[in-house]
Amino acid sequence: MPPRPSFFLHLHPPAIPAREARFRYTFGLGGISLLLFLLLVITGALELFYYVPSQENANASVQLITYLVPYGWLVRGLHYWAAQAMLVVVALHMLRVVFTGGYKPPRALNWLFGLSLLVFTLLLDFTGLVLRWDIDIAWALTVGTNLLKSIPLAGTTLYQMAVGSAAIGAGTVVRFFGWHIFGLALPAFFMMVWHLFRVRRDGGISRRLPTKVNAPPQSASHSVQNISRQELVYREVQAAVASTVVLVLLTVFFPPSVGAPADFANLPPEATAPWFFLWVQQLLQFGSPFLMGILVPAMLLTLLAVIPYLVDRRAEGVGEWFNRPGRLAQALTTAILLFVVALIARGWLR
Amino acid sequence: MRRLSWMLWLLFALTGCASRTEKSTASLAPAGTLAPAALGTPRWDPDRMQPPNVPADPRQADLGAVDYYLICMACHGDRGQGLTEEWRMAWGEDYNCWKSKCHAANHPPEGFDLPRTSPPVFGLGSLTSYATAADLYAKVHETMPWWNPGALSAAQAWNLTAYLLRSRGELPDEMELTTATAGVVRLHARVAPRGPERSLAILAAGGLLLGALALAGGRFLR
Repeated sequence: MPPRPSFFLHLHPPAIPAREARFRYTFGLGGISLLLFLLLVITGALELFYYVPSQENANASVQLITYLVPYGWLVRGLHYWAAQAMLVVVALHMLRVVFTGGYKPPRALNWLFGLSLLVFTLLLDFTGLVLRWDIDIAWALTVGTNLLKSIPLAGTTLYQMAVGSAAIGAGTVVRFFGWHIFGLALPAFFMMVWHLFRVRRDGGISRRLPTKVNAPPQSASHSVQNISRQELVYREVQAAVASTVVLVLLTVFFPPSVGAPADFANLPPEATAPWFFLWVQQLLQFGSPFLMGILVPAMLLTLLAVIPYLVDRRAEGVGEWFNRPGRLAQALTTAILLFVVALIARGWLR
Repeated sequence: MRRLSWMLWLLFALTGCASRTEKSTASLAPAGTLAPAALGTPRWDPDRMQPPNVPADPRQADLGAVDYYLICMACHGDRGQGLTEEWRMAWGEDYNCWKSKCHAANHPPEGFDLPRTSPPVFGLGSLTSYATAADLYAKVHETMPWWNPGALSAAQAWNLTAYLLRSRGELPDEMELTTATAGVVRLHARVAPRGPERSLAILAAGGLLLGALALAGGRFLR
């Protein structure tokens, strides 16, 4: 009986093909996402030493971290910017995977894992934002959780699961705190590990299929030119250093704000969603909350999810930028992302 | 002999304590307190009676500076030094408050009886009874001003608390004092200045970048 493959040895490959290891193939986006996640775990753990998840003290403890704790501003700023950057990097990683056919068989299941990680990232950003408990989150929390109420049959139950009671109140902060760490970050961690594991199990980073033109004379496994593990680690360190420096500079020059404590009895006159949910806020202007706030986003997600199952099931073109067999999948994904970005821009400009 | 040595020891201990107490009292004295002999003749000092400048977009502490000037400064001093001899000298002919037209026994209705001492509010050793901004706010709101306790509105009391703490270096500029945040702002704990921390963060990032570049250069040369 052959030995079972080691799970941990699958997390970091011993070597990857030189062609696919080029920066202009991956842009290091998957690795940077992992780095950002690890940075979020570390800075989040540091914030836990001071954060108090209660309605009375949540905002005060964020102000304490930001203004009074030595280097607290740096820890919070890195956490904030890493969270924003992760959304962008994960979305770009998804685009790269689509454009290079990385979703094609046998990687269809891992495509779904990646999509679920995108949803996890969105929800982590939202729950993390709510934990500030300042005036800026009051509308976002009210509108965002009210969307759950609009779901037929299960709406009220889901709403109560999210906010902890029949209305936003004393239990909401601790509920979001629980969701943020144990309901989302922990499952996202396991999902991410599984995602990495599946990359290796599905044959490593997506690469070109051997053809008559590029097929090696001997067996493929021995002839593909690889970069060493040392070289791979070196490139990963390069990407990590560059990303960390950018995050530190963003934190120093654009520190995240924290406003006065949230007052749900006196909501600010203008409803404002966080930038990554501006597109949902814009959608809500065109129809009912359930249709525009729940069904349309769910439909967009479903369209993305079915790409390797219904839109492009062929393995041809994998590892090639803008491969011909994947044109429909590429067009669909680009259209969805452009739609979302256009709505965000519309909300931004208003 | 043993009794004598005990007495000497006791004398030494007492004088030692006395000099230590004197020293600590001197170090705790607020800035601007001078020995009476060095003060000269009382002279009205218009420079020290100037109202504070209020920025166009004032923060709590900026508004508190105005309230302090109008309500508190007479008793607690222009530098938060308390009702010191030196501060009273700046009032010129009204140097002796208790005989002045404002605070004598026959003061007019807008005047009031003045206590013999008003504690300093800035400087080491001041406001030692208060641990947090919430404690200080409660004191200001409930017992100030001296002649009409409880007359300050909540906003005025918050503004004054913010001004006192900012002047003491215990409240960051950006922080707004509210019921929620006042509990976490501690007195007697100066806020670390942000500038050096920012510089160090930038230096660390620069060092990281240089290290990575050196590593890349080393590989290139090899």
